[in-house]
Amino acid sequence: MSILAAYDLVRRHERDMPPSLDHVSLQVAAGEFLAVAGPSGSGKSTLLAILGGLDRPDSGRVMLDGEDLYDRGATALTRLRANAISFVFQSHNLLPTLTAIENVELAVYCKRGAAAQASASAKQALATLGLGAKLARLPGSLSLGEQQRIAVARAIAVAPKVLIADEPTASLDGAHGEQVLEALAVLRREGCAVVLASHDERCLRRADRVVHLLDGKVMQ
Amino acid sequence: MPSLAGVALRNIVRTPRRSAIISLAVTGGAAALVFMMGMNNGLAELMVSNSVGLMLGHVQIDSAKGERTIPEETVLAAADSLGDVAGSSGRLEVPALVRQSGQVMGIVLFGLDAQREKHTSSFPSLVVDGALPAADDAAGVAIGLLLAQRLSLGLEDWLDVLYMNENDQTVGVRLRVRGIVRTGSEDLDARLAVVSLPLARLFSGRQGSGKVVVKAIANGSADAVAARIRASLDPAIYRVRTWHEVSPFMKGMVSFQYGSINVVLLVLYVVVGAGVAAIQLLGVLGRTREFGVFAAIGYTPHRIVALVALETLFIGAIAVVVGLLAGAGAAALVSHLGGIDVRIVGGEALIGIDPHLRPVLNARTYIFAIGLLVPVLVLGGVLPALRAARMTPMEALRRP
Repeated sequence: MSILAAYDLVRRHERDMPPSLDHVSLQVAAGEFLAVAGPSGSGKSTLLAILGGLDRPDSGRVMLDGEDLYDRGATALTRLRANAISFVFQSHNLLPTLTAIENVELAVYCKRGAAAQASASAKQALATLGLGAKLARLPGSLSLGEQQRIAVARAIAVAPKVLIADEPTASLDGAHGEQVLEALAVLRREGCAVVLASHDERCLRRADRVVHLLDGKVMQ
Repeated sequence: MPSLAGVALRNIVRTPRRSAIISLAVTGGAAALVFMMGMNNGLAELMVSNSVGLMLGHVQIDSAKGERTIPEETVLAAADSLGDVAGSSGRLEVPALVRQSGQVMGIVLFGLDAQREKHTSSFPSLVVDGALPAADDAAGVAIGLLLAQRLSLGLEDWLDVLYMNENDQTVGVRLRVRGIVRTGSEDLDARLAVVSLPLARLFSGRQGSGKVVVKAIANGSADAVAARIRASLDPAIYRVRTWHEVSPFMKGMVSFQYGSINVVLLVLYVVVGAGVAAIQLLGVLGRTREFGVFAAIGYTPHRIVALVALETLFIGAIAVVVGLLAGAGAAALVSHLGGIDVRIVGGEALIGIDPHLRPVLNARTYIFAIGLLVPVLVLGGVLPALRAARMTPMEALRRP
């Protein structure tokens, strides 16, 4: 039984240009680790954004737990993201005015019924990723690798149903990359589906399944 | 716990340059508005003061039946008993002729109480040579500058005057020139001859004054002073009028000038409003990507807009208060230093006219400044935030 399913997704960023996604369909089960591979410009990031409820497809549907993700307004979709979907951006996208722990707390705070545990969940997630001593640091004062791990901590602290990550180990050395993959593995064991785009062989090896994209199409 | 207010405060404190730019714009705008509105009020006050100060007074009391004189003691007592009256003085005009070197011309013998006029009008300051005749001066006169020139008269010269007494007989009298008066009005300077009030009564054969002029402590209390004097006098005998009623033309002139300077103020209002809105707009538009992150992690559009509104209110509240205080401080300083002399910026001061422009602040000044700045700030912040919040997170994140 799939928790997340995409049907016939098409997304064209510019008119008169080939679509970034060209009739893409896929399904992910709860607890499954799906890796999306492909060269730059193949449509990986676009696919992940649409699966994560961050961008609307031109056509096609994305079903989460049997409900159409985009058959709802902006506010309802935002609430759904807050409660069920976490996203790790390739460029981290941390809020520069908030400390490491505040960045993570804020995401937990947005989840319904989780505000009371926001601080504890955030501390735990950051400690898991080896950032327990840097809770009060602003992102600008941390290395790219540390920022990457805060972004991952922000996603896992929410305990989402689906975690989507775009190159989550790109800025990390071997040990820290393993730390992130291990944290994702823990999340999977709790039933969270993980969809991850990566060129990193370590990620692809750990995946249950790898989908290859080329020119916006799924290669069989 | 990063509550909405907590995040807003962190955004303000941890982006000091952005916060400082917006704060400075708002503070400067508020200070400029308060100071300029104070100057505007001060100019309006000065216009009224100068208009009523010379001859008109804030309130005039004369006969309700058209009699030439009224019993002045009752009126002076009624006016002087009021706390917001600066002074009151009786006046009596007697038409007359002067004859000099074969020339005969009509003049007005203007009887007044020089001591009381010091508190009632700026008339005593119009004397450019000598002095106004004292109350017990039975033969003194102060004449207009043009009259003196036409008749080639100087101080202590004699002026021959013809007037008609109460028996309609023409009487000739010689008056000694005690002073020369310059009003700035060619007509008045050519026809005016000021004598003591008792002498004017003697010439007219009547007691009392033709009218009593009252100066209120503040221009704004003219109506209230008139109402209270009216209430204390018999309306069958006395007619009490404010300066608006006595001189609709003067009222129209003051209103016109006030309207004109309000046009300048309106331009300032628009410039300050647009400036503050533009800076706020630029600040918030530059945060579109940040709003995309908020949306991606689950901040609803309403919450993003509320966040910006809160930040705006926090910065705005402090900056507006500081700006209002700075504007009020600058206005107080200018007042303390005696006001701005309009002559140093190209103005010309007439005799008897106060050339010093002093800011006047009142509750309306602050309400208008807050009424402009707060909506401009909130709209300048909330509208672009609303626009950003309506984008999909990816659209917002793609912005630079």
